[in-house]
Amino acid sequence: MSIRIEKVESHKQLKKFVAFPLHLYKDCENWVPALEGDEYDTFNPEKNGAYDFCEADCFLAYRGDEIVGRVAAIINHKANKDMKKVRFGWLDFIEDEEVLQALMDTVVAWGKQRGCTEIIGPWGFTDMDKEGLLVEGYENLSPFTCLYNFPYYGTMLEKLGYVKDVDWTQSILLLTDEMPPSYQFAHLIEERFNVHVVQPESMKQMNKQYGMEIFHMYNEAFAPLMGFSPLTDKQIKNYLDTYVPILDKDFVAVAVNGEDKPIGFLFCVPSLSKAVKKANGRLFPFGFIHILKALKKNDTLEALIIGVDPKYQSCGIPLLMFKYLHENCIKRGVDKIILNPQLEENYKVQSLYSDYHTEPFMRRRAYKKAI
Amino acid sequence: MEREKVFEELKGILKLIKPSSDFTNVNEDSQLVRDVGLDSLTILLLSLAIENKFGFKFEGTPKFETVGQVIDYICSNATTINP
Repeated sequence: MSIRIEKVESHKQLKKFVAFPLHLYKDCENWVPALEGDEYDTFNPEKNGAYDFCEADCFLAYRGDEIVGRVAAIINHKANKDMKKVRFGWLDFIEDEEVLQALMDTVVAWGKQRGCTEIIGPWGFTDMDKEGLLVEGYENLSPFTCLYNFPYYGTMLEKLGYVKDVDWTQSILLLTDEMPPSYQFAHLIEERFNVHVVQPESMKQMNKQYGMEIFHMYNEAFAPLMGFSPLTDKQIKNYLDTYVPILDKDFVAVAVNGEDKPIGFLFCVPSLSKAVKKANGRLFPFGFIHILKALKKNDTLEALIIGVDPKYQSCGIPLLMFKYLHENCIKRGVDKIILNPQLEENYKVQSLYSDYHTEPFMRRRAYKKAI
Repeated sequence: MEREKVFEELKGILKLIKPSSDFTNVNEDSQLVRDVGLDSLTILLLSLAIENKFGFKFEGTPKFETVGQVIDYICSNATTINP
């Protein structure tokens, strides 16, 4: 039976689009669903500020009446500089080459209609979305903030002529009570560069005082990275209102200079993977209980993002932030941090962890193909 | 300032930065990255610890390749050795 592709145009279809992976991965113990509400918000132009500079459509693949795959086609006009690239994301499909071919042909045609000459992915709208197909580390429980997929995804994409664009490596950092020797020099960094890590009373206060400036600095610090498009103030406000208040001040380090201006930030969150899996991606009726418990007591953190003002990038600022985080981890019984994926050639970031015991955790890959 | 004394102080600082490393074979020709095993962070820590120990400030970012070059700089700029 041939594959039929349907564009998602109604809420009913979007519901099917969001729910498809729950069926596909129902027996996969290491896959972790996204929060259902987040997925709806992502594809709501009124809630997702990325729609101000992106266009996107979602598609479902059917064989008969059965959904057998899904994919989103996205163009990020800000990130497209010298080339017109169409992104594919939210790619999920049963192990069937015909299904993948139909899905990818759809994205290619969609991109070509808009003048694109290359397809890349999996990428989201911006760097704040999940990106990169899992190619190593299937034996590990997926971080809540990252993609997880069956191993056949990559193999089948490669059969269709997709080649590696870039890899992200991801490590797990194993903490002990023993502090790295470098911490004893933290005071010298503070004195020499007139910087320190703030000790906020609450996330609310941190958010109000530094929130907007932190994300402006993020835009500046990440500008040179591949596929990056700066966040708009509307997007920043959304992140500050929606996500930052649920962060825990013990796991958020903000470094400031003598003028109390943020010059570095490190955001970590207690791992929600087990809780979200138990909740099956739903906050209600009882999913939020698992999530609240995981936020309060957890032995594992997920590092979401680390950034340093380019003017302070050779001043040891990460050391100050890690010291703050490490001390709080010991206090709170955390002994593992799953680091956020790092572009494999971003040696500057990878060297930040040379003082710690790390182990490889996962590897992700973005693919590309001329169209 | 005595070169020998500066070298000993420098080895003491390196031991603080990398306590698990053995610096007995380090000499003035040793390369900071290749032989001593320093990276960008530990070079920064070394320079801050030198400033603190010898009571001067580097102008700009120091660009040393060998232990001997560090000793040369300290010998021409240091006025004191702090405890």
